[in-house]
Order: sequence, then structure tokens, then C-alpha cells
Amino acid sequence: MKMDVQTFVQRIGKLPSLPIVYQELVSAIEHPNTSIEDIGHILRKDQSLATRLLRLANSALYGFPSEIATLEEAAQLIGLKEIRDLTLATSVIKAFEGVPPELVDVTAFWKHSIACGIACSLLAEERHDPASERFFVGGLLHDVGRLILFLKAPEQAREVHKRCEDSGELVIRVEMDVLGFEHAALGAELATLWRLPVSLREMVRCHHNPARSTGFGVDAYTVHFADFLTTALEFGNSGEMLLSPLVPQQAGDQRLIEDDRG
Amino acid sequence: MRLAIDKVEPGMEVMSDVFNVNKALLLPKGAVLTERHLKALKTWGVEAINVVVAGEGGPSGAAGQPAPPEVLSAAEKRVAERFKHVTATSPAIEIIKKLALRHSAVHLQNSPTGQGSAKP
Repeated sequence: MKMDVQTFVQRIGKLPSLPIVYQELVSAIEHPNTSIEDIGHILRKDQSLATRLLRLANSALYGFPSEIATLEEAAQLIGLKEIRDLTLATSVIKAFEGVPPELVDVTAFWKHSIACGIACSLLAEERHDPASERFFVGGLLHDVGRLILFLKAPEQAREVHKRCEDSGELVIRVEMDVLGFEHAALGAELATLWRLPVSLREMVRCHHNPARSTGFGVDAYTVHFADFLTTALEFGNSGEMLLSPLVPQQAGDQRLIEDDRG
Repeated sequence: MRLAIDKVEPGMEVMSDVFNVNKALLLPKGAVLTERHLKALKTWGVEAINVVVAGEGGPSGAAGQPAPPEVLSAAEKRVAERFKHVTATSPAIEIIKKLALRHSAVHLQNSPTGQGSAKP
């Protein structure tokens, strides 16, 4: 049963939501008078989130030499935007905890997504993008549409998987055939629903076809390239073992990769 | 693996070049750390460095040994399958392919079944 992505979203009912704390955090950070204490106050409303954030701040991801004991300290050291993005990252992972394990190895899925996020932020840092922190989230979220399919349309997801296994076709092609849209479009719908910034939505929506993005081509290409790299090097497993072709960079784009070294 | 400087111990091997804030090389990749190095790194304010962890392997494989031919051909097959829809070629794709091959060979060599842990 093929349909467009909006119809699909209307039919499947409630999509996973983000914790209220995230929206509070977003508005607080935009407000110029917000103090570190305010941020700590907001985060403490959600104890499980607070614990996860502290665990992350103390993880090898940051490699701080001494222990970070409070959320205020973490916010100060890591930065408010980074805290906001970590909140989003850990909330997304939590929001999709109910995905059936027989359809996807959730740990491998997030391993791929996190590796892609790290690759994205490294690429953005490399070209001195002033907003490199959001790239991690873009990479982390790029395949979230797949999770929605596993969660909300397991039958169709199984059909896609079966056909790919039998024929060796790419998942994105079979998705178009079976569903009428790609997981990227579905992920973008979720980004819209969650009121995430347009740049993030575009990174998700166009990660297989960066040229389709208006205004965020470089952002989308960053995710596209990072996804290619992490899939090639088998970091985790997004549900697609085969590489989709690497789209050449658009002329006039800020160069992402040195492609002339030979 | 990246370790905070107070977790690093003498005898560990440095995985990548270590620089000070002025981008001057303090320790080259492959150096084996001594007590004196650690003191110097702390003096320079280096907070964390990359060290080689057993099993993780450097870029050339677990023990720096080239992979045996049967592992290499299994890795080649695996990478060819993975890249089968990538018909275009470019310097970037070639580099990634080489990395994938190396990665796959290390992975196959380290997994006892020879099949790797990834699901098909």
C-alpha cells in the first residue's frame, strides 16, 4: 500500500515525543538572561535525564581530567548548546526504546548513528563551521525514520527487509516501491513535529540526496558523506549493510573533502 | 582510545602524535610512555592523549602484521559486496574503500569465527 509520507504519518497515530524539559531548555537557552543555575534547575526536573547527562559528561566522549559532579559544572564546561543537543540525543534514544528487537538490533543501530554523528561533527570542525555542535545531532538523527517504520509499520518494514535480502537491492529503493516514500522523508516529518531547527530537518531529509536541500546543501552533504563513511567502515548497523552511491559534491559548495589528492 | 592524562600509565603506546598548545610535537606516534614523559605532558597542560589499547589495533592491524591471504580475500569479498551499488569512482571513494578493506581484515582476523560479528 503506497502513500505519501504525510498520509502515512496521519495514519500511524501518535509518534514518540520529546520530554517537556527539552522545549523548556530550548527557550531558556534562547533567552539572554538565562543563568547556568536556571539550566540546572530545568534539567533537575527530569531526574533520569539529569543522571544520563552527568554520565555522558563524565564519559570518554569529553575526556575531562576530573569528575564532573553537578549539572551546573557540566553546563559550564561543555556549554549550553552542547547540553541542549545532548539532551535531544539521549531523549531520542529513550523515545525509541520500544522498537521490536527482532526487526533491528537497536544497539547496533545507535552505534551507527552515533558514529555518523561524530563523523559529522569532525567534518564540520575541519571546515571551521561555526555551528559544528548541531552536526552531531544531525548525524545521530539521520536514520530515525527507519525506527519509526520498525515501530509503527513493522509488517511493511519486514517486507522491505525481506525484499532487500532476496534481491540485494538498496533499502531506499525498495522503500519507495513498498511504501511510496523513503525513511529520510519520514524522519524529516518527525523533526518538523518536534519543532527541531530547519538545518536538522534538512540534514535528515536529504541525507541520501543532498542536492535536494534548498539552503542546507552542505549540511546535508556532511551527513551524506559521514553516513557513507560509517557504513563503509561497518560502525554498527542501521539496517542497511550496502552503501548507497556517494553523490558528488555540488559545484560551488564549500568543499567538504579533499578529493584531489589522488 | 583517548585517556585522561591521570589514567595513562608508563608502558602504554601513543596512538597519534601529541602536540602542545603551540602545535610543537611533544611525542611521536608509536612512542612508549615513560614516567618522565607523563610528567612532561602534565607540565605542558596536555589533558588527554590517544593510546593503543590491546585488541583495538593500530591502523595496520592488531600487531602490525599484515593479514594472512585468506583473511584478506574474505575481507575483499565483504567490501566488494558492501560497495556493489557504488559504481562511480573518485579519489575519496578509493581511499574509503582501502580503509574499509583494512578495517574488515582486522575485524575478520580478530573474530574467532572468521565471519565477524555484524549480521548479514
